Amino acid sequence: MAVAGDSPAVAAAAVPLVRLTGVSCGYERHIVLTDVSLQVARRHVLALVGPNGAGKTTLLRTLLGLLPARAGRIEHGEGQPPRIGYVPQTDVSEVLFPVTAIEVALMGLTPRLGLIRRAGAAEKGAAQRALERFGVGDLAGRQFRALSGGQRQRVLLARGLVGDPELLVLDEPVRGLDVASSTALVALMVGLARSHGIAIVVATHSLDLVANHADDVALVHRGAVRAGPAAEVMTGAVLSQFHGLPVHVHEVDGQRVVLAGKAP
Amino acid sequence: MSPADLLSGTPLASIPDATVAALIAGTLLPMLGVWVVYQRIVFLGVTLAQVAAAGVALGLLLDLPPLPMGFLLCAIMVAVVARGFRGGIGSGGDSALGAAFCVASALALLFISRSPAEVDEIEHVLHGNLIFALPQDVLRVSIALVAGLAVIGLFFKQILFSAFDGETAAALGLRPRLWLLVLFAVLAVVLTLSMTTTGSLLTSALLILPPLAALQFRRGMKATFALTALLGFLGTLAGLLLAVTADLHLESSIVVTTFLLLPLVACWRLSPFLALAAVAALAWLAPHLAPAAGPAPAEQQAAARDTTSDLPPDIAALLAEGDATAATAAAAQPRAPGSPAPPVTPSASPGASGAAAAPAHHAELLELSLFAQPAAEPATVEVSWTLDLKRGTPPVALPRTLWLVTSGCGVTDERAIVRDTAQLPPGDQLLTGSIMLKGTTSVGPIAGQLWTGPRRDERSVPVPGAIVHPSTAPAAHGHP
Repeated sequence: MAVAGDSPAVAAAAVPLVRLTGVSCGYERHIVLTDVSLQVARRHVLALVGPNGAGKTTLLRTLLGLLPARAGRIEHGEGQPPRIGYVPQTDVSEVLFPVTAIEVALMGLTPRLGLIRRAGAAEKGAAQRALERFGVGDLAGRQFRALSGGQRQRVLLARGLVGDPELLVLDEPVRGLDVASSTALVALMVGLARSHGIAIVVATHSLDLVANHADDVALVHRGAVRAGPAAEVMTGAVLSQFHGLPVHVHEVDGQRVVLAGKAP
Repeated sequence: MSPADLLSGTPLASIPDATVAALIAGTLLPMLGVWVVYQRIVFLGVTLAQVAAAGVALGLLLDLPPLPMGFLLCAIMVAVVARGFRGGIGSGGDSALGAAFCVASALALLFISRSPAEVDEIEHVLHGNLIFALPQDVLRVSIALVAGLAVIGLFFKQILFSAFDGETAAALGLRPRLWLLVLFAVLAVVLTLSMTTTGSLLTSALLILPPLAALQFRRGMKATFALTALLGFLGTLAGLLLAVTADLHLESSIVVTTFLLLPLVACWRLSPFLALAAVAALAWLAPHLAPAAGPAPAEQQAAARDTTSDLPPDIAALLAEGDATAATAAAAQPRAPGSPAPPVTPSASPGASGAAAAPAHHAELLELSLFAQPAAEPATVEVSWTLDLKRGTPPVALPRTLWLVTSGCGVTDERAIVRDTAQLPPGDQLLTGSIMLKGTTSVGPIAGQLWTGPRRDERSVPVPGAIVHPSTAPAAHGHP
């Protein structure tokens, strides 16, 4: 994964699934981000980081094709749009619906089923396996609305992966998860990216997650995006400038820990 | 086997078509309501019903087909709503729906006030009247509901995904707005068609209350649909039985019993025995709600039916095969002009509430003659009527309005023929007019009856002592 203008060696090594060049993201009468240039490649994890309201979700929606680019160019490196898996924030779903966990997971296969065909044994088996992969296989028959926030998140992750995506987009995937769960989840996602050749784009506030697992980082702030390899972006100097307060990045037992100091 | 045969010997035998229409609507409409309730678009359903009413009223005003006009306005509404719909009606959407509801209600009233159509026609099309449901109403409601549910069943997975999480559905290549548009369009069509039979109040109640009750069971989608249909059926059946047992308004009774599903299901979840005990208590209470005197509506209708035994065979046969309610046309019994008016029999009287609407004795002579012939317009029969009004001495007050109820050729019609009898000049009067019965090609016997108001009005009763000469056969019957 690489970003335009940064690390040409890395850019050459990876085949981009999606490339944004000089893109403006936003809505009809409100442009949120301008001149965004980045690309998403297989086996890479791209993290979008920024304060609330900075435009992370707008950028995600543009990547997903839910919002048209207001300016610039979006290209698909393999000639056609990639198969997408999407894991929204849990509160996006209409949880009043009396759907079970496996019915939610099966939704991820809806595009594959075509207009009329219903999910058969094969699809249900795939959905069950996806749930088991995230440790919620035993909850398949439970009402989605009766699950805890963390369990719902795992079910939505299963739905995101059940369709065998090439590009997996996650919006705050570890929000509401405890430390053990979020660590296991992140390890699983990164493992999938590496082993299955999936490109992952994740919007998150967890700087520790980004510092330890992302290949590339896009800092979204004040209408602009600064992107680059994680090693270059996730430094105390860059993050201090970005957040406007002292930020330190330490290494403890091979893990990077991001600590914010007091505001000046 | 007709609904009347099916219900023979049951308390509901006197209202067979109304029973079938109510049970079909009560079972299938809630299944549609699952989507309305669970997607939190209850107000959309209510607003659509009002927009449909405004469209129907506009059609009547402009002399255009009312139902298609109702569809058209609903389609516009649906298109606007679907455009702004993003997975749920937020506060802004609710406000817009509220505004649409108010405007549609006001427009419906304005259109009606300027409409050349008869008031009863407007009332019937706008608000329906379950107790006077005809076989064609049952058929229309059934087809609308089954077709609507079939469309939603066919595209179930797309609509479910779009309703549950429209953003992800769009990200995966579906078109959630299109699928929600399909859902809203089905809602609009079904609500428009159901409303004209079951009325807007009952339609809205059936759309909302059984799904809310089923929601308490916390089951999956399929089980929820099945439970909703079952609860809707039981609630409607209970409402029908309550209405005929306790002499209560039919639609309102069903609304109340379907509402009672909510606490009963809550009781059931605590203890099924508690719920069954509550049901038993309500069943015991129901007959005690009946008025102390006066027959129930069902008994009135049954009694009125019995009067058909006095009719000439051809008219009796016509009434037997036609609208059950029109069978109350005891006045169809031909009498020689000028013969004394028959006394009002207790069996044909309307009960305590309705008796006050008309004088118990009548000094006037009201003699109505009907004559049917093919109209110039296709599939239409023109029924000419002549009302011979002779004042008694001293004159006794007439009912304020005179309504003519006709039944024959597979069509039942009712309309006001004298709006205000107080405006009539003094002395004897000979009034004439004609009505068009649409939707029939053959000219057969036409039976008639004079009422003091629209039949759905509980205060309305057949005009006591009125004599009606039916139109038996056009060839053998001279114009009076």
